[in-house]
Amino acid sequence: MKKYIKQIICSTLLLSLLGCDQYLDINEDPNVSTDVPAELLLKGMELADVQIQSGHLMRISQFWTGQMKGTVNLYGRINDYIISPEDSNDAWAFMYHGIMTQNDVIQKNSQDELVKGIANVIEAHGIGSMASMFGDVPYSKVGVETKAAFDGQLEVYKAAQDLLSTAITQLSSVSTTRRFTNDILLGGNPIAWIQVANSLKARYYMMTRQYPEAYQSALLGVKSKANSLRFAAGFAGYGTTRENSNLYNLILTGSRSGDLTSTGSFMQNLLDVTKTSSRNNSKTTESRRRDYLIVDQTGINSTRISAVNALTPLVSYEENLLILAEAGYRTVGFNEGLIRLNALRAYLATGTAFAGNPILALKYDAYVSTDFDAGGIENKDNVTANKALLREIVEEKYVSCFGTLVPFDDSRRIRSTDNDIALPIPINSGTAYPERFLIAQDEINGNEFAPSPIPGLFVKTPVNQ
Amino acid sequence: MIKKLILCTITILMSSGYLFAQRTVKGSVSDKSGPLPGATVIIKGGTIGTTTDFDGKFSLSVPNNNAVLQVSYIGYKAVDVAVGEKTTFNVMLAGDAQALDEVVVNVSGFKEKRDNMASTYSVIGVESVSKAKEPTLINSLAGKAAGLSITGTSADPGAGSNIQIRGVSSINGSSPLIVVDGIPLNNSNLEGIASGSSGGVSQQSRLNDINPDDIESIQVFKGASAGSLYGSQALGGVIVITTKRGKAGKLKASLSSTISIDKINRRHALQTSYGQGSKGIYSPTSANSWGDKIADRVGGADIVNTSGRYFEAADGSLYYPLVTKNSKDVFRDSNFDQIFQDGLAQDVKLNLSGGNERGTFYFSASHLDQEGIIRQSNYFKNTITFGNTYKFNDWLNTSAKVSYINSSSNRIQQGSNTAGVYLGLLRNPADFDISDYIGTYYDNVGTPTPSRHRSYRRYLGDTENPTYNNPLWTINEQTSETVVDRVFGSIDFNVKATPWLNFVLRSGLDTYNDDRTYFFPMFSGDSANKGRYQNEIYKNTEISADLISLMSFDLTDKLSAKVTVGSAINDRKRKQIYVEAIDFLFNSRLQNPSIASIKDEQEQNRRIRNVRLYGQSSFDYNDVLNLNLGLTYEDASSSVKSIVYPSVEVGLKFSELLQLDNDSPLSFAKLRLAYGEVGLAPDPHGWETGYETATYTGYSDPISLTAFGGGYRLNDDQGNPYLEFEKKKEYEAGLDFRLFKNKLKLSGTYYFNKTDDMLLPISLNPSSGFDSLLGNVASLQNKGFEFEFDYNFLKRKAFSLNLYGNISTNRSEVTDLAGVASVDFSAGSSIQSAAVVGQPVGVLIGSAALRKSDGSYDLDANGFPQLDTSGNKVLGDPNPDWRGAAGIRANYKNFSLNVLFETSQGNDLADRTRFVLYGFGTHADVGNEVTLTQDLKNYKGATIASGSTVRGNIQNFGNGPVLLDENWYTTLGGGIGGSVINEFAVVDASWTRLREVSLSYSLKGSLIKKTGLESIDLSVTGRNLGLWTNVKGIDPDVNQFGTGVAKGIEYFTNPSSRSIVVGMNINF
Repeated sequence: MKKYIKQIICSTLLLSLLGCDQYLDINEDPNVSTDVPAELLLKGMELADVQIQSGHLMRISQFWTGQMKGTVNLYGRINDYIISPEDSNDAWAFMYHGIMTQNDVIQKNSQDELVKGIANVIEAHGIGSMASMFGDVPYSKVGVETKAAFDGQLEVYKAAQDLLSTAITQLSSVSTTRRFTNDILLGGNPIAWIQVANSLKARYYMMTRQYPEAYQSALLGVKSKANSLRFAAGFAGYGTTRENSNLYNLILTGSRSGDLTSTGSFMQNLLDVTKTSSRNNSKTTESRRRDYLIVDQTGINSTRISAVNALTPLVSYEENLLILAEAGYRTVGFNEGLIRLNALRAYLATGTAFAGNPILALKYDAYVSTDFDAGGIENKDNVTANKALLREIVEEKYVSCFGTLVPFDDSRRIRSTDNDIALPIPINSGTAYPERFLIAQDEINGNEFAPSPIPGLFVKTPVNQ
Repeated sequence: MIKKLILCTITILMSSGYLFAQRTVKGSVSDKSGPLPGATVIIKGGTIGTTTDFDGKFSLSVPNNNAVLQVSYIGYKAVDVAVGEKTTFNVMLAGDAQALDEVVVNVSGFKEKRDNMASTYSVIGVESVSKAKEPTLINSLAGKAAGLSITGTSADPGAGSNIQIRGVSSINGSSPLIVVDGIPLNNSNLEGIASGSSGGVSQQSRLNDINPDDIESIQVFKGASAGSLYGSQALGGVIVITTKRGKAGKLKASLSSTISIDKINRRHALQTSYGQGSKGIYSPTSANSWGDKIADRVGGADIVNTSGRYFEAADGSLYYPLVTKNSKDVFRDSNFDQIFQDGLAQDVKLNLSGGNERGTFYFSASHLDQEGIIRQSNYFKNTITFGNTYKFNDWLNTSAKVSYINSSSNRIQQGSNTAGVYLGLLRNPADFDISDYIGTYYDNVGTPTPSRHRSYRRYLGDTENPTYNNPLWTINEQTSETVVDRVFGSIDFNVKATPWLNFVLRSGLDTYNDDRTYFFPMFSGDSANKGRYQNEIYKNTEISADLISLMSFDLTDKLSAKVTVGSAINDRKRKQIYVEAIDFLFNSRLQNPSIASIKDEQEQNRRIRNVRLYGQSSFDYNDVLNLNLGLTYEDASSSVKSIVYPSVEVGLKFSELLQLDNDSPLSFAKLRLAYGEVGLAPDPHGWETGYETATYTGYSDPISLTAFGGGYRLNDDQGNPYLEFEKKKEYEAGLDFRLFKNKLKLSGTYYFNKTDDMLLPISLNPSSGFDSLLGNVASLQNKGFEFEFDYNFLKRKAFSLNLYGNISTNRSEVTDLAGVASVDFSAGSSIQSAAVVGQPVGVLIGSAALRKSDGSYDLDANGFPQLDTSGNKVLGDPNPDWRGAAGIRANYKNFSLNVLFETSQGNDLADRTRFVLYGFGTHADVGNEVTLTQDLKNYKGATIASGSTVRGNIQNFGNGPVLLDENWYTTLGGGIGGSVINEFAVVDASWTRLREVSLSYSLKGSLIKKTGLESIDLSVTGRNLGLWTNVKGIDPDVNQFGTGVAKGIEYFTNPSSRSIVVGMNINF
């Protein structure tokens, strides 16, 4: 028996060892799919884009443009321009991984031009905002090299324009009746997306002062409220749960609820009939819109922009009309500017552009050119009529684009091109306005192409220099 | 192909052992605990001799019947036996009192002569473990061995602790391998989805499941040379635990019981002078306590508005909207007392053992019932162990053991978590009474909402979000239960093929089920306003099997060799099932997902297998020179490549060469040199980049794909199909001395180790398109010195006094991170514990004050520091410069006293709780009032006139004194996030503690014997009774990030305790 045991042990050993390659072949990941259809990545790209456009940095831009106030804790400090590069980390991750990496998969693997077109619009939306917020950012080498070189801000705008053109081509190639239900922003409507793409082109042309191109693109831009890009038109489709709520609602009901407010902001005062500095006049009553734009933890209700299911703008009909107004004024003339402004006012006057307490008044009567003459209701300080009109267009856009990065874009641009009629937004601390956000700490840590030192908060981005 | 070649070679090597054999007289050598392998048996006066085999057996040719056998073994008194007519000898050796610890086990669990071991290890006597009377086993190891550091996480009952040997050897798991009776034991400390590392509850360390009473001995093997046999599991060293077995003889029984009373050992100092509010004005909803001076209030009842909404507490108390705050009452201490209590732990253990020549049995049972220092926290544990040995015949015997453990525990939410207890308690203003935390809220039109949560920021309970939990809600309404069932068993077959060749077939099974339920009723904080139920179940099973052949021969009369050749397989699998149910349909306390409208289920599976083949040979030349050579081949399912680990150890007992006489002060001296390699297998399933669901959040605004009907993204953590083992190489040199007839024992070791190809999910620059990439990219090194001593400086008939202790230093340095500036181990924390090239592992980095080139503060116009916005800076090192422990062991007749001090010097702590409370205005440091003797500027640049008495502190940052007031503490000088000067939160956290004092008395002798008992031991133990540290408010031996690599961060972490333990042990 004894010797058999030895033999048994030895043979068992030998056999088991020879089988060990098979024994060890168990490393395939049992937890994740590796064959997801590319189209299913679009929704995630949209959420990433929404966070770039409407999240943390957008709220901060609101503190810096008088639209909101950061009151305590982190937002209290950032309100006074004390900000660190780590506050930009998420936005950078959303852009490059959340949008670009996913879009690479979509462009490579999907056969669906509709999804590919939408994905390209989203990427262009993201990268344009990145260029606006940070100036020079990596773009052309992203996805090509791990350590991507930084492109000049103007090159990035150019690339975004090219990408939007590509997207428009892709979207134009599909039947106008096609829809893609996994698009939570516009239900996969190609017509709407083409309009959004054109509005974005117009937005970026405005930033780069290419006003004729901006005007031409805006003519093809968003034509209705329904075709506006808003977060998230798909609420109803998914029921209401916390994590598909309006972003203002989320922060006002979370642990940071008291850290920010619109109460006492420059913009609230601008809309406040009782304030001498307000923009209300005999043709304009902003009471209801003022109510709609209240963002405060104690003032959440269903008719305000912080309602759990309130839609917030990303690329809106209002913005497009006002691009037409400003670019029209700059390239066609005063009358074109006025007509376009009045088109917007007519839309506002319908009462469908925003909610707000219905008891409160709204009035947006059409302006006439004399309103902008010296001493007119829109020109109390006797500047030229042209300047007065431009000022009103800019001010109207400042209010209409609440909840987007556009007021931050415009206020920096107008200070650079038309400082005399720039809005008197208060400086919260020190003597200068922030001109950009800080490059993300994660990018500084990991990319030797990141400028060293990084440009400071008060250094203008190239386009505004 | 190479794999197969190595396999064949090793197999041939194993088979080569069948070649010799011979015998004449035979016998066995044993001590009171069983057979003694390796004992020397020689013919007295001659050169013929042998050593005993693994069963303590020997056979020897004797020249004639007049021969005398001399049987010796180091650590035992030598015995002479006349041969005479007998052919079989059973020799019993008695221990030499001067050197009791001399028999040790090697890393594979086999007995060895201590002096023949050339690797560095420490023996932790079972006595010192059981006398520590810690409710958890791991904590009882603290301070017991040089280079072994035990770091607590909190005093929560059953909370785990970090075990680290010689510093962090890898970012991916440098906790040591625990081997119990030759079988690896799982010692995981899993965080889980429901409870993250930065905030959640303290998790348990699975090693603590063992009943400490089952332990016979613990040995800590520190170096890579000792661990190389275990390959990729032994990167962090090996702790070998030998458990008790039954012994032949009469039935033995012991019953022990202990009762422990625990108290919080440090409290955060809070101010009671200023009320809730800001800018000196009271506000009942403010987050901060920068309100009015409480003493200046008019006193009496508050003026309230009783016309509209109100809150009715459970006891009927009514709260109305406040109009004027008049009351001067403060509640700091009563609030505290409603949360904390004296903890109580009761422990009962029973042990039975016995047997005869053929078989033995061992049985133990234990029951622990502990209530923590935070009310409602508890830990219950029951264990049962049964073991037996059986000898079938003269060539086959077996031993088996199985333990069943069942435990349950309710843990209290802590850390960075708005539903955590300390966060809610310490931020709570002094003038807010937490008592009425639950009740019914009536709105303006009288609509009742029952079971509303009333917190200091929502004193009417008027919203579903309390912002921060009332701490009473945290402990009374929320539960975080974990129930663990575990079975751990092993079986050994020992086949004695020839006197010099044994086979051991050993297999073990370790399986547990950890079922955790987290329940946050509606109106809880931490985004659980609408209720949240989470259930997370871990099923973990590990199987291991070893086939070992042990050979022992005398090559010449002076040179003997032992060869061990073995093969092992190990299979570890874990399944994690997670169910989250949120948005309750009604305000239910039923802990079941059926009450919720939204459910999310996740499942994670993990499986890793490895195969090892190993050979170890040890040569002994004339009991002077030992040479141990080892070679281990390993392959793991998660690595693309296999790996070979060599080891070499040389031990030279040069005292033997010095011809020492009895009067020499030197009794023993040995030089040890060792080199070894170990590794770490990559985590499984890391080869692919898969798709995942995602939540996008910037700041308190999460939106998820799940909530939008589902979707995917390509994972931001990239997989890598080229992952292979991490490799650690270690060199060590040591000296062991025994002086003055073995009264003074000294042992010192220097080591240097380097870990290369360390797997790291490198945080990529976002523009790479991914968040991280796992790769074999990083390197770090450790070097250090360890010293242990034990001096029996007084020994009289009934009295002995020992001074003992250890000192160790370890310097780690991250040498390569593949170009990445830092790797964060503490996700979510504003002060990170990170890896930075050129810095120690876990270095603290974060926002710093702007400095000039000369290192002084670059102050603003008002004389205050400014935030350096250029990114994170190194703020401190949480690793100590050195650690040490020193103790006195005294025995007088039946009394014994043990006093153990432990110290850690030069370790920094991110004392974030204190710093954050500065911002909230509740900390005592910011409750001071100062009268200015000169005009001073505050942070906003306002000038405060001389003579004014104001709230604040005066400090000089280098440009003359300035007033630190609310403006400073709520902007840069306190508070949360990365935009404050977090540098000011980092402090030197060196500590010295009286780790243990125990006094015991053993009642034995004829009087006791008459009652039928063997002995009764009585003991009183104090744990952690003294603590000396500059850290305010908390014992620095806590860690927000649990037992992970991140350390030195404290953020509303549950506190530590000190205890008095009374115990009685009855032996039958």
